[in-house]
Amino acid sequence: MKKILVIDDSPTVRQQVGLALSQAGFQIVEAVDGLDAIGKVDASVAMLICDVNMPRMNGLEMLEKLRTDARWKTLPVVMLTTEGQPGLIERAKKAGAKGWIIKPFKAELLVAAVQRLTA
Amino acid sequence: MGAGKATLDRLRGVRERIIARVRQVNKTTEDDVLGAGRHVHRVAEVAHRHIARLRDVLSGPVGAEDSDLARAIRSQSDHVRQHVTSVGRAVAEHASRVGAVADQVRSITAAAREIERLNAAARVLSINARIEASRSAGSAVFSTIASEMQQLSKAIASANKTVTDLAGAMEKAVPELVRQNQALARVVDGYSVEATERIDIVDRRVAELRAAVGTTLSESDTALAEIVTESHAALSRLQFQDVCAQGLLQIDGWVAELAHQTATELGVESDIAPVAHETVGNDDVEVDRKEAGQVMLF
Repeated sequence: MKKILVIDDSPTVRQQVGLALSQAGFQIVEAVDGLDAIGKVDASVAMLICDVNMPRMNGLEMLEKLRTDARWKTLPVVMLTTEGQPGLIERAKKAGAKGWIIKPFKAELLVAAVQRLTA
Repeated sequence: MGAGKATLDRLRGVRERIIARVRQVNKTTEDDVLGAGRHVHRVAEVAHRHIARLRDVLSGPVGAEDSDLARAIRSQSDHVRQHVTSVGRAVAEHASRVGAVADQVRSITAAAREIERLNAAARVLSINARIEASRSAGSAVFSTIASEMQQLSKAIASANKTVTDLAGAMEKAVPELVRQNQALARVVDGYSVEATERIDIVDRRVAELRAAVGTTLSESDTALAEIVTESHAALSRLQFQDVCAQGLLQIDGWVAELAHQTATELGVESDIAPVAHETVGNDDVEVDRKEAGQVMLF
């Protein structure tokens, strides 16, 4: 069972992403912000789904920090956020994000994207 | 200066009330949405478990050609077919043996008649010997022969009577045996036809049941897929809470900005509290919500 790390300060979003993915057979680990996520990434994690606007360490900072570690250079990360500004999307892309989804997400599309990126 | 400080204090008070109210609203909606999410999950979970159980119960005994019940019924049918064939063979063999016995009885009767004919000849010989004895003035030899022949003839007649009586009894018994055998054969044939028809009915019913189980399981899979799709749709709908929560928290950002601007314009020092929810982007840029949910993969 592939493990997905869901990072969002909103418990409702973590729950909704978690339910959609767990119904599709994924195992879910949750983190409440970027800093929490950095502490929870390990070799068993197949992919990250990460919010942008979060306290302590936002999603883009988390992504940029993650990529400084050689172990996580290619770990798939998809940003899931209410933000849709091209500048932010470009920054995420440059930092090595694999995708960007504007909230509210469509569960079936999210599941399909996760299945594709973890295949 | 005093008026400026009072204005900032009022702004601070408004911010505190806004943040308190937003947090209260967000907490309430968050709790309810989490509860609704748990219910959605429970519905999908119950459906998954129920259908898995249904599959175990139905597909195990009759769902497939090699399922337990199908195998047991097939084995029982084969057993009955073999038994019916075997009984039929035994009855036919019995009929054949009864026929052979009838032939043997007829041979015994014929043999008895032959013995009777030979005995008649022996009696003639005995009479001849007696005649010869009288002619030869009481020849002892002819008298003895006549006497022995007479005794032998009596003994043969007695033995032959027993054989004839037995043969007669058997001749009467054999047709009864044949009738019984034919009656048994009819019963066995009737049972065989009936058993074969019933086995065919059972086979048909098992095939119908298997088809019905297949259809039911297929419909259950479709229903489960529909439940999952609907639960996904429900989860998608429940996300309004996070979007609304962030929208409400934006108001605090705007009031904080207003407080900063006011402080600057009034030229007063201010210790304005940081915004309740930091954002990376520009809060004033309105995202085209038609794009919401679309996945951009890089």
